[in-house]
Amino acid sequence: MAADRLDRLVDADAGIISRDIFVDADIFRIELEQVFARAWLFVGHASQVPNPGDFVTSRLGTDEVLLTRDDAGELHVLLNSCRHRGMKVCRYDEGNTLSFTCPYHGWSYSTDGTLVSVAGELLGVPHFRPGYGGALDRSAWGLVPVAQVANHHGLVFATWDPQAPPFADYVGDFHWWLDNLASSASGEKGKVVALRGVQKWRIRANWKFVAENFLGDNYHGPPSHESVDAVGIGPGGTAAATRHGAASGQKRSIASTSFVRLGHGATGSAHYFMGYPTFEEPELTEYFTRCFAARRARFEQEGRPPGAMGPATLFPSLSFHAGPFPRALLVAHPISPTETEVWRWYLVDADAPPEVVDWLRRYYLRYSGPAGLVEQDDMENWDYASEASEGTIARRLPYNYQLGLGMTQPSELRGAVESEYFMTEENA
Amino acid sequence: MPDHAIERLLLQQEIAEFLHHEADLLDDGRYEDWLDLLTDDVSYVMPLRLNVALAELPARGLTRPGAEVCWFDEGKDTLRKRVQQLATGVHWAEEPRSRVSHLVTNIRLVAVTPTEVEVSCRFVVHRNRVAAETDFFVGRRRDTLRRVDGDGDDDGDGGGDGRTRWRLCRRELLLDQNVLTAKNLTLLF
Amino acid sequence: MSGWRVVVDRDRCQGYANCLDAAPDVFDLDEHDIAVVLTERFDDAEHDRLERAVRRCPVAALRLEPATDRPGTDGRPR
Repeated sequence: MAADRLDRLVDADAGIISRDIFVDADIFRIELEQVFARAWLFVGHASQVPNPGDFVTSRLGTDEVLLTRDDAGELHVLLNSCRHRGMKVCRYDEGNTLSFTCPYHGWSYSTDGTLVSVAGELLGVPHFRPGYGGALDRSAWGLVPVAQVANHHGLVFATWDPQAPPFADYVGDFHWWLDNLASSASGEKGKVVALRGVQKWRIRANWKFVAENFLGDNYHGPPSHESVDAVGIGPGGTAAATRHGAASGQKRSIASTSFVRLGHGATGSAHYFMGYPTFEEPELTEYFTRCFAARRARFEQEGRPPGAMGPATLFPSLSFHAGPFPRALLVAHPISPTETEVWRWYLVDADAPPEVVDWLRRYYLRYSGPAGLVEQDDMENWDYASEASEGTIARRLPYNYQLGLGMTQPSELRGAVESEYFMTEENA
Repeated sequence: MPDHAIERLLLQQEIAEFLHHEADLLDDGRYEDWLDLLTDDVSYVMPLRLNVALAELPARGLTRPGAEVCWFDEGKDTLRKRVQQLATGVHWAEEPRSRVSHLVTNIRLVAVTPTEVEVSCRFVVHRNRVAAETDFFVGRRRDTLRRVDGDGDDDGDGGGDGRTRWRLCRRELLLDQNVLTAKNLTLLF
Repeated sequence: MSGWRVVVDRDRCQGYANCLDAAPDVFDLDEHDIAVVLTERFDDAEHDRLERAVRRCPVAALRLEPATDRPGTDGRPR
């Protein structure tokens, strides 16, 4: 595709974006090469593989990978495709092993540092002596590792691009949001575990609908989620708090935050904090009141801003809520221009009492995912917006991103702007 | 035929009638009436189905309700919220309303006690939505029905027939999917 | 009697020859490309080296076990 055509797709000053970006197959292929093969992408949570030999399968863009922990406790991210004929060397969601033997022709790979020099190296192939004359270069035919891995307080990221900037530079000051995602309710970094089980489901929508929804799109809330707000799913019951946990009379966030060059964005600001709700269950109120006090003290001591709770999106496809209500993340894996596989993880405090963990788990499940009373309605909108944008006539028409246009001011965060109105499409 | 065999046959028929009646309520959109068929302490779960090695399958092939991530793991309070949401008229994922059929088959009584009956069955749920959007949800189900006091005849039709003598107190749904191919689970199973 | 022996599961072996790489004086391949053990009994001093060789087999076709006077059912002394 000609570069000038790509330039014509977006008119940021006018707030006009071509629908082709959401439905066109050529643009989708360019995204896979230029975005997903180069960006830092979320792989999984370190707590999914706590012990040596533990592994889970994951995805980076359109590629399936293995997140493994070797016998020395190091994490690795390896392409799940045999170097011989490409077969998936592992078709389990999780397990424990230090060797992956391909079911097709038996090529075998190891993550055992006592047997191989590099995790994923080819350990051996059948008929090595008579068939290959004992000469196959095992060091050249191992499972392909990602170029870089970063463990951000338990959140594991990887990129295929050796030239990609270091993770800290890629994230920039958006790290305040990631720090909260990786922190317990009392604000302690890394004191969070993923509940076992990743929800995975297919939607018939472009992946960017998902990313944009969390990136600062406050606008969709009242119309999209009118039904769940009418019903009330807690925390704290219908009257006491919103579904995010804010007290019902509380002032709304005045801003969204957009990292213009880095591509990340969030609803709310680094300073807007919605507080912890009061629960019908006294033990929950007691726990979160204690956590909130500890969090405030810790944040003052560490010089962390009180907000940065989200919803938010780390470019390109990791979207999350960073507060306890809920604390969940999703990755929108691209499948085709109009199909996406969504994966959802749910996080809880590592040291929370069982009744708190169970309450949160049930709350997360009624909030998010395909059965979530909130998220169900999002999927309906993303899917039918994608379908209705595929028409011959419809796709000639641009989308309108003029809400809040020109109403931004520089943020104190590096490379970021804040909108002056709480709804904005500046972030997209 | 011995008496106990006839009794068992009648019970099997009564349970099947209850389950088919329940399916009719759901497919007719009579969700409030459906809620009435559930005990207040009902447990309604649909765990995730994981790919794990054969030796691990019994212990780790399903996520654990009560502790791990499931598609559903809830009680009557949340089911009631779902029913209320369906009735708002602005629940866009079901507005306009989908066309749904529940097929309940392979019904087998697994355990019978004086108070409860455990039933194994299969479900095929077909959903057609808006225009051409179509999903099939297929799997197995394990239900526990509790006998309620009296004849349970609260439907006002004057009869104490079988379908009103039982209440559902536990439903475990094993959907035969790893990656859910439907965009959402707005249905009641 | 003390000591160790290595047993080959001939149905599992696929001729990776990893054991030969690890301990060429202990293993060989037969005419069907299946591993064979060249020595019937090993001293305790050999244990760690043998264990490493056994662990290198991708399909777990090798087993290290205490030697007894009774020959194994699937071990084939040369």
